[in-house]
Amino acid sequence: MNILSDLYLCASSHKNGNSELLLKELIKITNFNGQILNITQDMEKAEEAFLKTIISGSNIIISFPLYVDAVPSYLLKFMKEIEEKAEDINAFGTIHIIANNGFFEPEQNNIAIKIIENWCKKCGFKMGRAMGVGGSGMIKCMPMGKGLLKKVGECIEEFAKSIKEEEKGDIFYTKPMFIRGLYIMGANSGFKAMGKKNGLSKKQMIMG
Amino acid sequence: MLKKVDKGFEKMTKLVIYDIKDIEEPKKEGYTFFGANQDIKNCKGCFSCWIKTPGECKIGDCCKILPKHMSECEEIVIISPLIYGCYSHKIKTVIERAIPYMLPFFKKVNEETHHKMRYANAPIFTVCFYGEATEEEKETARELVKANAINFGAKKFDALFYKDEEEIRGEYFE
Repeated sequence: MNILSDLYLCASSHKNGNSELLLKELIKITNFNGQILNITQDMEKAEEAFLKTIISGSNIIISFPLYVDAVPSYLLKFMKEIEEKAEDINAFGTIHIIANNGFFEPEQNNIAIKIIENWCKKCGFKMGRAMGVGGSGMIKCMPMGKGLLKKVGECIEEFAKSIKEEEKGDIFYTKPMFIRGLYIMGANSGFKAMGKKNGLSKKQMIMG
Repeated sequence: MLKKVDKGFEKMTKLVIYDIKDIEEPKKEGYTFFGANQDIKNCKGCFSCWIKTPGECKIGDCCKILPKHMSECEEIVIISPLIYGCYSHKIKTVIERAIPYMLPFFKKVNEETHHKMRYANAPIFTVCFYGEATEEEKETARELVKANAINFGAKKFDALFYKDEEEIRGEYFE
């Protein structure tokens, strides 16, 4: 599988964060050799690359973290600027989405995906496939596709295949093979430990 | 264990967070206006407001006071252009900077994971969107407002749609 001319956009300010990691996993499968552009680091360069790619008819994959139930504000800004710049262009490319969130349920990414769909309709862009990843707090706990991340790895493969074969279909949902109650306990313990490292008790973290 | 509103503080009725250009904030008793058209930095996602300086963002701009305002009001009113079923990026930036209002810890709400609340306050969450929009965009916006209301621990919520800025000006800024 090789989709060399495609563009991978990361919309997260975290270097080596979950959004970037998910793109890298996709790239491993697609054998893409180019670099990932980060919207938060160089928006102008990302806009330029986006416009070139959307005209060329290739795929654009945007990976971002869910911020307060929607796309991050800097991605919204990027989208608005693209809408203004793309007014007079003929767009042939296809937009694909990877949205991830720290809550357990991958379905919580739905609203953000719908926002991107609405943007595509407004701009005349073709919306391709979307993948919602839940429980992203565990994404780095082991190699992708192994153990608890087996299904996440399989889902990325399915997602890559559907892009390559231009398949249509519903949103791909995936999350680590774990139980919500334990995920919540683990996350809460993790935050408590982070507070403790900074000399804060749980009560101090709550009361401020 | 929730943080209570300061004793003796006279509760403001409404905190109005708005994105409307060239508007003068009226002096209305019980209202606090917060313009999103100021120089506001993006949330860095550093979690300092949760694990280093609980309840306080380390970015020292006008958003620093926001969680305190939110903890003391009866109603949060957001006024924003409707963009693709979402807020404007300026309003979205303000909302993202308000996360110290919540705790980092998770709980289960309606079979979903959400953050626990830092404050005992449970305001009404009202969003006034303005501008032309498709039905799909309005539906997405309704879902977003509902999700935000759950995450901010609101007791009630509503998404209202206005034709343009003028309609909103009449309601809140005169």
